[in-house]
Amino acid sequence: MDMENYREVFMEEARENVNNLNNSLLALEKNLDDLTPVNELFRAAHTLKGMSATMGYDRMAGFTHILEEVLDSIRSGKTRPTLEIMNLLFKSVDALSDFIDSIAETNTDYSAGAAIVADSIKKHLESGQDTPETPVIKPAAEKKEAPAADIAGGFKSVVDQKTLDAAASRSMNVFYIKIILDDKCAFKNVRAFMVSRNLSEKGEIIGSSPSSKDIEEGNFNGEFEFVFATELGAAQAKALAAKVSEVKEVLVKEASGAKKSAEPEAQKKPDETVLSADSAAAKEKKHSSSQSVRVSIEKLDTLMNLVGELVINKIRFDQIAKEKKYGLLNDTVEEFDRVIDELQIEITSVRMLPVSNMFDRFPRSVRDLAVQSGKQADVEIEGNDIEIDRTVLEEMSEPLLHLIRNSVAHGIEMPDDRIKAGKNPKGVIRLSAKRERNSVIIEVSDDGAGINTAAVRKKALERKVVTEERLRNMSDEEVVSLIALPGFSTVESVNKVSGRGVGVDVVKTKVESFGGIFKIENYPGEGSKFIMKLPLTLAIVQALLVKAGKETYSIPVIHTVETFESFEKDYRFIQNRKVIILREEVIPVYSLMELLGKPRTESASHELVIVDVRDKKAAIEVDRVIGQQEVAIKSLGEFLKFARGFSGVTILGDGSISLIVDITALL
Amino acid sequence: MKKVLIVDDTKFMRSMLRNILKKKDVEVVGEASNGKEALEKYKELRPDLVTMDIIMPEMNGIEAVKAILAEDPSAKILMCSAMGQQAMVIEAIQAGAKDFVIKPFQPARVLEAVDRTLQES
Repeated sequence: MDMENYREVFMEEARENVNNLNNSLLALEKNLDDLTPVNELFRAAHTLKGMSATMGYDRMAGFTHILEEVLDSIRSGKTRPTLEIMNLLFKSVDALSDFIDSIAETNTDYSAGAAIVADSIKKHLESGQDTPETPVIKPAAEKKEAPAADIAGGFKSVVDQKTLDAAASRSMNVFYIKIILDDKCAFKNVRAFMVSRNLSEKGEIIGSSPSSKDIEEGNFNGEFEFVFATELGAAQAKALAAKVSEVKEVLVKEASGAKKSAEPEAQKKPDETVLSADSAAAKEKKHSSSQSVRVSIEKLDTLMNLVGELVINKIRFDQIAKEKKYGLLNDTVEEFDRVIDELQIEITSVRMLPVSNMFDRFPRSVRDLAVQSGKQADVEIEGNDIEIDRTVLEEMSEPLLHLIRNSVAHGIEMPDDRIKAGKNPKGVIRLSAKRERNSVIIEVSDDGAGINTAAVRKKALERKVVTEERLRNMSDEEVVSLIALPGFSTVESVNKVSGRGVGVDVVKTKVESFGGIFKIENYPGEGSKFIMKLPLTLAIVQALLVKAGKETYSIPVIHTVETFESFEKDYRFIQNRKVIILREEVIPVYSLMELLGKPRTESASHELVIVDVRDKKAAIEVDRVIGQQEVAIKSLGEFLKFARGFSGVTILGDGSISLIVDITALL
Repeated sequence: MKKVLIVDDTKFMRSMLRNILKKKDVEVVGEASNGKEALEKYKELRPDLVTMDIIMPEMNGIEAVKAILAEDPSAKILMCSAMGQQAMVIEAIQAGAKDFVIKPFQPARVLEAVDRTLQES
């Protein structure tokens, strides 16, 4: 079988199981007296063992086997999950991650650390217990165990005459049955048990060789014998035994003590039933219907693109139908719309993954970071099942990890300080995801000290990210947003936990590159919160269509707050900047034309689109707001990729082209 | 065509089995990833054969065998076990499973066991 086809599934599920291991370990660490998570640990290790063995990753399989053993030992109470053991277990999980990474890169299972961890575990297992226990097996046949009828080899020996007589007196046949198992048979004792069970249903086993205990424990080399008292004939008795899989040969001979007629049926060819399996397997192949298929991401992207094209044409269709006013056409177009909407929703949903894919790895990171920095922190997760576009999910994983590192490094205080502040010595980092119309909002918050605005002010001056004069006029809220400026970092040295200061600005840039919104909320003394509003999907967005000059532009709705008509008299000037006062809020006004480097359209009235960018409002002046609709984003292509101020292009209902304005880049 | 339900907590193993079973005149009508789901799917699909993993979350394979046989005493269940689980397999057979195969799967062995289990009355 071609293993290559399975590698991807293997990788995916192996990673899932490593995540499970991590999470269960964290759960166990919280309360070492409650061994419930060990079951899940064992299950995950066991699954990994089976999968890696199947794929032929023997080193990994061997390693997981040892892991499974120690987990079993913990489960049965023989090994106590001490701190040392816990650390070993965490290291084992890391080693497994290494194996998987190495498989991903080179298709060989290699982990530099695995050998040392495995040795330590082995030492523990050896020192911690007397003898490794083998599972005790209690076949049902036990109660029927015969009075020590020890037959040594072949058909020559006889069972205790009294037993034979007893059977004969009940006019039963007594057979010696020798069973030879297939060489490749793995659980010989289970097969023996199955044979004995089959026989016991139709008679009584009055003796066995080797002893029933040895058979139970598998202490025999593929052959065993039963003395079987039954009302059945030899052929029927034989069939009972041969019915069991992996039985290569069954030899039946009537015991001489009871009746003295039977010819040994011995030395026949292997049983027919075994052969029949092969011929059955060789039967013609038929296609079995499958319920799921694997599709490459590229294909999904293509599909998504095609749906995007459909949406564009749908909009055109709508417009034509409206203009022509054919009743019949209108009805058809409506139906057509509905189907396309559904198609779009379905295709979008195929690309979606629950955020748990990303969130699940964070508790472990927090644990490690906290341990390194002598802090204590728990992770609370909410909205694990919220789904988001796969690309967004993958790209956001690193930035989020960054925020979490920051929370541990800068947010959460040392346990002593927390106690002084009247808090639980253990800090809490909360991760949450929620759906809000066409966006997913992800929040990372902590109950730490919050952002020290005085320190930020000081650092901002040192780093010259802002002038002294501007800084003086800044509210604390504005100061907080300074930490998202490139190169800003409040920590002096390169810190092991938060890493080099590729700080918050990287996160912000990433969020904005998806057309998302990044916000920071600060509660001095109580913690801070990072809020990321991300689009559900990248390919189709809700946009506000606006007219400016001769062109129609699209502004993604995610940034817009409201729109209204404005007249020249509404504008004020503060420090030479045009502003508008809206509900006592001073909002700077920018002409879209001017932003795009063109002369402003002179007119008595304009319309203003209030946008929310980086937590600040701005009014974008356009000639006219046309309306809201969904647009399919097309890339600008190689040449226009660097055109500042545009994130893409879309085609409108009338076939004209509309540039999608990248508000965050313009302001 | 005989209907088969595949029960395993990993998609990986399920797809392995599915692929092996392509060589047979059987139709995989469903998959379940734990015992509970297996019971539900069994009630819904009434397959002729169930392949049953042992160690699974929610409800393990042995409990699932018991539950399915309580629902339908004539159910035919083939256990899929990893190495080193003799005791569990015996428990499953005592509970009424018909046969077992061992992971890593050997396709020929699986097909033989499927045949035998289906032939059993």
